[in-house]
Amino acid sequence: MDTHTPTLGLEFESGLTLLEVPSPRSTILHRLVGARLTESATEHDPETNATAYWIDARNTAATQVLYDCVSSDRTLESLRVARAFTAYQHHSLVRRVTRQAGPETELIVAPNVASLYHDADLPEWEREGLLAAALETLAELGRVLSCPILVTSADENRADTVAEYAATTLECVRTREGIRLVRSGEEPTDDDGEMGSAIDDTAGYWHGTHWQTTIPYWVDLYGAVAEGQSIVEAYDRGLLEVTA
Amino acid sequence: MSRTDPYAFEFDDGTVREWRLTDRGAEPTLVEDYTPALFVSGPDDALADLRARLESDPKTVETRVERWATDLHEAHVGERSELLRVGCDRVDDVRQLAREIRGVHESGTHAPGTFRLFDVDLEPGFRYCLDRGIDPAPTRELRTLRLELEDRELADGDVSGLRIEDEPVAGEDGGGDPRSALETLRTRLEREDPDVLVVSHGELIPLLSEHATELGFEEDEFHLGRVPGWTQLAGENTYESYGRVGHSPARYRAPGRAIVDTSNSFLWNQSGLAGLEYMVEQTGRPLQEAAWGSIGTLLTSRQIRLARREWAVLAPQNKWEPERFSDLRTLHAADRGGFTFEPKVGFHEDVHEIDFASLYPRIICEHGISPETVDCAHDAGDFVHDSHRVPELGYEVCEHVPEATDGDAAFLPTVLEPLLSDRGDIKARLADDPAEPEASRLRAESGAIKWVLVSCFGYQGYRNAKYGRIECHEAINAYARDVALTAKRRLEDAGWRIVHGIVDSLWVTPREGVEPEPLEAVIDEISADVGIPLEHDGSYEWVCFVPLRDSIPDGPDEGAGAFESGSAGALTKYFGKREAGAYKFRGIELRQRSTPAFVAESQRAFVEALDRERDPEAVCDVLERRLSSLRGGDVDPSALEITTRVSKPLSAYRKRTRTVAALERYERRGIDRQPGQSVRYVVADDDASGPERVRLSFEAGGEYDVDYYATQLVRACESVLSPLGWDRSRIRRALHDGRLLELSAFVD
Amino acid sequence: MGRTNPTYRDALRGLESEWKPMRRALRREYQADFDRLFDRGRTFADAAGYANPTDPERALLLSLALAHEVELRRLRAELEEREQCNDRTAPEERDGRTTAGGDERE
Repeated sequence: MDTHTPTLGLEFESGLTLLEVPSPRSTILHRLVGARLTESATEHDPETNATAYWIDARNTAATQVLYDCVSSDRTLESLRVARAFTAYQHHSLVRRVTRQAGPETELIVAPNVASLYHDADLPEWEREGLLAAALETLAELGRVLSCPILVTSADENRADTVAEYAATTLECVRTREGIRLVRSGEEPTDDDGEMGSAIDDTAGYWHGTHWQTTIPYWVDLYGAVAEGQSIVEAYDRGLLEVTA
Repeated sequence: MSRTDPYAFEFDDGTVREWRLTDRGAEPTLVEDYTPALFVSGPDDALADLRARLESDPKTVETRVERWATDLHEAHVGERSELLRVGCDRVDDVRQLAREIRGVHESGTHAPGTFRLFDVDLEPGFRYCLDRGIDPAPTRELRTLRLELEDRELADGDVSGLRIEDEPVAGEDGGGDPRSALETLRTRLEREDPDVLVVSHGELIPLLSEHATELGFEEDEFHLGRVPGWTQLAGENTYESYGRVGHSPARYRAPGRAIVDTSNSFLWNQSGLAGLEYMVEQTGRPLQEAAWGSIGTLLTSRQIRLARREWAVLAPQNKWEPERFSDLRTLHAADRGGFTFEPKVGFHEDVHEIDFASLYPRIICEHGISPETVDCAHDAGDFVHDSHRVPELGYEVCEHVPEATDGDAAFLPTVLEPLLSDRGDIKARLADDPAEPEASRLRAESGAIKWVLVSCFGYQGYRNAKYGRIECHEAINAYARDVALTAKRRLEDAGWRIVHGIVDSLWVTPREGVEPEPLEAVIDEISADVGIPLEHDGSYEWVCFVPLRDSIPDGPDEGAGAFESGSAGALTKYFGKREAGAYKFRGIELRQRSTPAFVAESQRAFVEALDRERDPEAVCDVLERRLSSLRGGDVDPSALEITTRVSKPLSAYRKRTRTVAALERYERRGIDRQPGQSVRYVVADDDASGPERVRLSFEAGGEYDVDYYATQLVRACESVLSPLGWDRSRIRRALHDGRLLELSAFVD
Repeated sequence: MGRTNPTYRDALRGLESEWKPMRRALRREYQADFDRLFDRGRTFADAAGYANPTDPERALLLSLALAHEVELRRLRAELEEREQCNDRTAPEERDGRTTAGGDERE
């Protein structure tokens, strides 16, 4: 068994890859980004342009988790993050990436890619079209730049929509060794075969030369801070006391 | 003589009826030439294409190209875009047309998001005032008439219980019938000719009107408005916001009068008519539309009006503009909250509470934080401009460019400054102890302002805030942290010790063995330094900060309180005695709604004993007496009632809680309890798992579960003594009569 | 809106529960000491949170070292006080007498 690169074996193909994750708070994507940028950091001059983009939804881009996934903070210097809080913003970010990304871009990720498009503030009639446009743009971007575009979805029904645009769909399957990524519809294999790669998500995970603690574990457990509330909402929920 | 501006508006079939207040009542004017409009931005060819399509749409009366700024930043850098203005015949058509532009005209031929829409979701009255430059603030004192029905009467459609100005219309003999109720109401309406109907429920409008018709009143004989007729403006609506289900009732209008539905008016309930009128003035929303607006809605209206008038910026329909891509380090630094000092658990004497008044709005004004200035990074172009950086984050905040807009400061500061200064004036006037009703009017206005000021910061971070930007929210937080730490340093230098602090308020006490500099001088210095007034809010003889429940040390081996940094404190649990003598309680049991009166009152007695004797043993003596009256059955069961809110239907509860037991008893008695309503019960036998665990307040039987309430008493006592390092086993040892408590009172 | 990371206080709770197995295996007499560790970590949560570490565990360790330092200072002060006290009472003790006027050396 290969003990040195258990998380890094997976070579993502260029184009859109859907990762079906067990929960919106899954930190698998963080680890994959960390692993990918660790690999490329040796080849790239950190002074050059951004090489990876993270289009965030639902406050997934926990910086502590990302830093925990790399042995040196510098590894993440080429990552650019922007958060969307509405589907409109998400769609705009996807379009913005098409303008900013270039040949040097190695990776684009969009966790919970379909999630915001199901919020109540987006009218029913607009959802499908806006999401389709975002996914199509991402898929096209993957083809044009020949770089992997990783998106995740924790919701099965939405995952089906996303899968229509994805070149590859990977499922996260829980095994005794941890979580294993397998191509959709295939059985998890025990050897580190071509089918998938294991990510140990038990107490900690092996990272090259040392054990990291499991910040992802408590992010899963507690989540990031609850969705920020406006003071008005806080009042509506009886959380606030204000005296004139 | 110029005519005064109207205060109420009705929209029918492309016409507007304005109502102007006169000395004796109000007079209508019909306006037929009003064309409400929405605006569309997009690429030139797409707009031209859209224009051609819309010209054949019967809802559209005119289309033309106008120059406006599509966001604050565009205005800030002195640019404008060409937008298509689409005029509609009827104000009700605007939303439908907007939906068709995006859903039909865009979706077939253009990429989603090609067209951005503006001025779509404005309330009709507000839109009209905005378009016509009308100030809908009432021009004379308003006459109100309050109409109320109980929930039950409303549900039964029984109008005989109607109360007008708190007086039941039914006679003393209770023989009220619907006809005489309506007769009385009709007389009152005719005699008083109110400008505002303040109703307990909006549904009173159709209910009363329909009853009148059924009882044979002619239409011109009985009408709630100044002329016959009534209209439903919006249906009732259940919405979900942040995982909580809310409900907004249907809205109605009665011509010529403004309706305030008190079941759906935050502002009325907070600040009454005076607060409402103030907000009409500050937002430009006519009274009726201001009444049902949430604070966020009111703040948005104020922003929309300012943006349109002084910045030539239209109100975007949706939030398309995302934050910029930034590196991880920036995100890591920016994405966090305000600064909170850990409370020093313990009993502190000579404590002063000092507050930064309106900290967030003042940071916004002091540092020019605004959606168009933060991280603006604009090419200076023709304008000379300056900038400064946000501490820790490095966001550049661009100075306002006076040449670019009519305003003389950045946008958000312009929204807030008048409110801050009004509030300051009001405070000063109240300090002079004015007579009523002046004083209550000032307090109401001040209350209304306070709410808007409190909201403005959170609102910057609200995802659908029309002019909100997360970067502003982050910048404000960064400044707030900086302010807190600057104040801390100065206070410590001056010989003061900070015992607690939450964002904008600090609790300080003289450092032991030091003669501190006078507090007033220090806070003046800090105010001048950070540019935000720091105020001395109160002086306390003593204050206790309570530790987190699971941080109260237990076990006899624990040398509690010995370690200087002690137990971790709960951020919002404390109690103290003001120098003037009054107690202040926060977060402890007696402030919690669910705490039974006996326990709450006992806890107050514990605090009083602590104040009197300054000795935990003395507090335990009080506990001992309370426990013995509990054991002796001397406590009135009604003082043991627990009130809790039902959060979901009975069937949705998974655990067998006391609330579930109570709900089962209600169900057994055929009484319906909905989520959001309260249940009241006494714990009869906490070991039981079925409905016999509790007894409802109206059920007979005097038994209560002594051990359960004894535990509650001990906990309440522990909250009071835990700041002194006492835990429940120490409390137990201090009791003389060991039989008063089961051991179970000491375990969780 | 915003807030991708848990607050530092939440992170501490996370770390505490992550190390629950260790607590479980500890002999009872050490469990209270173990709990106190995290309590002392929380005592400096304001400052540690402000430092905004990318890895909260490091901030916890530094907080614990700091708590240790505070305790040492307190113990040193106490020791010093006792030593002074002992110095004063020492002559009488040597003589095996117990008189009331122990302050005559001042």
